[in-house]
Amino acid sequence: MNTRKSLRTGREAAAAAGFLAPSFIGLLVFAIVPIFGALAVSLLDWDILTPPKFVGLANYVTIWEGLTKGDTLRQVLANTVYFTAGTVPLAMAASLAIALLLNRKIWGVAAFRVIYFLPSVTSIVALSIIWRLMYNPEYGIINRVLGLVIANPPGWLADPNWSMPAIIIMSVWTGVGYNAILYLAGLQGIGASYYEAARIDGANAWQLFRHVTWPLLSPTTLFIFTMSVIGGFQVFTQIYMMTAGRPTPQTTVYVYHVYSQAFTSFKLGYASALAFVLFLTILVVTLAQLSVTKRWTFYGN
Amino acid sequence: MNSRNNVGRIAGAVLALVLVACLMCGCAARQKPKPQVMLTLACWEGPEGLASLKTLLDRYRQQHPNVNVEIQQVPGVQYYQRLKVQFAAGVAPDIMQLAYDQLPTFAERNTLEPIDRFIKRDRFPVNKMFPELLPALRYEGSFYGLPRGWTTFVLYYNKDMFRKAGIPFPRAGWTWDDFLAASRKLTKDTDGDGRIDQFACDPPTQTDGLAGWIWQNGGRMYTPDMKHCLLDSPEAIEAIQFLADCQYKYNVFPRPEQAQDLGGGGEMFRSGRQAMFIQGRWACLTFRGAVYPDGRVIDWDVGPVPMNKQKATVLFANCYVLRKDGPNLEEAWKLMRWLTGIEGQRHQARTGRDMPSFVEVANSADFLDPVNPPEHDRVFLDAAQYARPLEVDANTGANAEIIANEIAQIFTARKDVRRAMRSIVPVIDKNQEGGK
Amino acid sequence: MKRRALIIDIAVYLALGAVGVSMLVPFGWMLIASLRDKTEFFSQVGSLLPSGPHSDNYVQAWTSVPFASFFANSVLVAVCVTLGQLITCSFSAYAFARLRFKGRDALFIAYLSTMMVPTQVTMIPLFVLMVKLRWIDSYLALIVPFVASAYGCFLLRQFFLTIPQELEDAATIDGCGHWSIFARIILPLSKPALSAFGVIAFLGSWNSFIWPLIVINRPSMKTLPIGLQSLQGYYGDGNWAVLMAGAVVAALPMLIIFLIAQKQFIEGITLTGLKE
Repeated sequence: MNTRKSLRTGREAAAAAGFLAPSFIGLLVFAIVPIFGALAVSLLDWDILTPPKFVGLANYVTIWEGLTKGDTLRQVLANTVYFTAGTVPLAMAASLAIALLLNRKIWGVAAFRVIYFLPSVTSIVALSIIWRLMYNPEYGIINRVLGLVIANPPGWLADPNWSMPAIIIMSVWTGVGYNAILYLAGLQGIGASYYEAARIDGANAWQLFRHVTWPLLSPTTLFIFTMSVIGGFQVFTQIYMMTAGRPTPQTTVYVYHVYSQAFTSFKLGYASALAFVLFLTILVVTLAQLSVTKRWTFYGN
Repeated sequence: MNSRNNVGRIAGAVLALVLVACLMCGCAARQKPKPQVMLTLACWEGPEGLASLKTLLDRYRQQHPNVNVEIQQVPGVQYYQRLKVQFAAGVAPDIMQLAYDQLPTFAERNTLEPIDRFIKRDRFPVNKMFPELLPALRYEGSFYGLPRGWTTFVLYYNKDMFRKAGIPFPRAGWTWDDFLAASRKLTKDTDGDGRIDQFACDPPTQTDGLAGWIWQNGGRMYTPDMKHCLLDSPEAIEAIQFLADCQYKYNVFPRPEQAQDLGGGGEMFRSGRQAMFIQGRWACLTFRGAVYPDGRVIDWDVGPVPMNKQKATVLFANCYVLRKDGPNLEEAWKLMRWLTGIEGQRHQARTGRDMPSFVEVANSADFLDPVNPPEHDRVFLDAAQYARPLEVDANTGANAEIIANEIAQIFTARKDVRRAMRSIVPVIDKNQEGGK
Repeated sequence: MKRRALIIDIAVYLALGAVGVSMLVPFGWMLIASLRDKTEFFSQVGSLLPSGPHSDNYVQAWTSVPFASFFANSVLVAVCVTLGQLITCSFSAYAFARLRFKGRDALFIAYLSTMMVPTQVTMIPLFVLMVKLRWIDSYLALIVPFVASAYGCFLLRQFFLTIPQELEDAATIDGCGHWSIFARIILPLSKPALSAFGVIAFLGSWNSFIWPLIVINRPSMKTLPIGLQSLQGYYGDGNWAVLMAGAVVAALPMLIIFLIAQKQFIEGITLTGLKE
């Protein structure tokens, strides 16, 4: 009996090894080892063309000094927080509103869904190009329309005070349809029985929303929130395409800074340390989300 | 028994196949005159420059049908970073364009092939080139590059706009005051809609645009031994402040919101929105045939840059260099020799892309073109008397990035000039301390 | 009562319509701009419609940079990555969902933990690896690092767990080994999950920007997103018309695919909730 069982488990283990081998090797070489590699590189001063120099925690010290004393890294962090704080609430509110509207049984929902989803499936590179043109302070369509109503429309990407809002607006526009679809799935997952019960109790539309919809949506909301915040910290492409950190440092966000330190200035060690700090930040955010999930979400009790 | 027979049969079949393949290769090798060579050439040429280069390469192909050249065109801002990565990964191009101020950076890192032996072996006539050029092509005594062409920086000006404003054309002896006075007359709102749409000139964006102004004010960018950066010296700050005033006080340079997405000074001049532009010879290629938005051809010419305490302007050279120990070194050298030789230089001169490196070509009608603008090609040659090469060493590349970023702050975010220069000088000094 | 419902419906339509218009305007503008002549961009008298359809902008966009190569490279890379992920992830998901072996759950958690690490952390050491392996400017750098996906393993395992065990039990009694169960029972039943995940994997690879930006320098090896970016660098704001034409050409394929395969896209997004 024992030998047969161990033979079977032995064979299963062998089969498992076979099934797992490709992904295991792939993840080991390209996901797990690089994590330690990143840590190792962050302890070096390296420009890829000359041999690396071991500097211990010097890069982290530089980061610490940059955050507490200097102004570049602080500005970068502030920009990143500004971007995230600007896009997340706006995107979530807008996509929830759209999802609520789409949830009504009206004709043409499918068509609307397609239209709202278009920005999400279009290359953000192409979108950055057209938005850059639209944002042109003198000749772009946005200011031409605004100029009819306001005396001095903002300089958008050319103005240090308006460049980040410009990018925020564009990013919200790009992501709204996508989040709306997620919200829609969440809304459609709420059983009709809840609404019926609440209506019998005499609830009006607002009360329905507040006491039925919102709580039952909380898993979706929290999921979208966490994904959006993490995504906000990692924004790169539209910054690279639209401003590339110029003309002012107002739009240099964290990942752009990591990229330029690593691949423009060739300070791979410092950039790796920066990336590690980002990792820890995201870890903290995710763990916070997990603990909040336990307390706030409502799974239909 | 059976399996051994099978093995024998298979082995025999394979052997036969291999023999046949060898025979075929042998025949093919005897039929083809020369093996096909694939060279990669890296450059940052824009549309006009690329077209010109392709014409030149087609001509080379006609003479050498076995050589294929793949052009790797990379935009200027990323050009040197890309090269560095390619060098690190062993996939660098065989032949590359390099601005002479970047040559020490790459030569020092052992990435370029020294070409003294090729020059000697093939008797390349370096002694027939302008002597001012030669130091720019060398690093620690060895030749590393040969010029695609060279230039002095001159002042391009729009004759229509000068005539309309009633200002005499820029001539030798023009001062900064003349420049400013003319600029104020040349900046205007031409269509009466309340917005300025014609500007006098544009602020510099990089070291090569900045150095000339600093020298004209009697300053330097570095001490002669290259150990200290002098951008915070009174002369340098005064010069940069003059430019900043042009932008913010006199409003003769466009501000970012006025010129956003219009492509910088060169593009503004080319589309008839800017009256003057300080650049090297290569702008001639893009400006020939330039038209206003309504289709009229722009009438333009060149004059000397304005002077202040001294006459000075920038000497600039773009070189071709070879990858060290490249797989196709001999073929790459032959291509480089042709591009930088007499025939290549004649083409560069005729198209307006560069000043030719050979004195005889510069004095010929290929360069002193009576038909195409500019009318006063001589201005480029005359400026050579007071032109200086940029102060350059192996750190120039890294420093150029720092300087360019800070200049952008001054001219787009109104950063105070003194503060800006004082913030980067220590950083540059640290680089200079560490390097050569 | 009915009239009130009607007013609400009209209001909803107006709101949805307004949002829809705001979604479409940039696309329309991109199209119009791509047909303009390059001098029409920055003049105050610019009218709404272009002077005459300058379709040569498209020709110029296509020829000034190796657009055909960009497309070919993107297709090749995305197809290989998608296939790779489908294969490796379905294999692993089967092992995690159906096979019993020591350390299975610990290994699965190890897989999941790799998802916690942002790509920016691994991109620098991976870049160094690409340099050392001399995979820079090659397809290997674009494909191989992405063939394994912990996310795919997680997703497909979730799905496999929902497949009732009875079918496999019957097959085991008939003497089928793991491979045949996997290939003949599990895979055919998983088509919806596989296609949804496949769409997401394809989209993620197609839109990938920062990694190709890092490892590809040679223009002929660029993928579409960074190829389009190089078009912007090539003209340097000198020809917005051609740049717009390039943007249209680059955006078109995914738009067409989306319109055809909407259902899979939306299913994929809602199932996975992940963009790239």
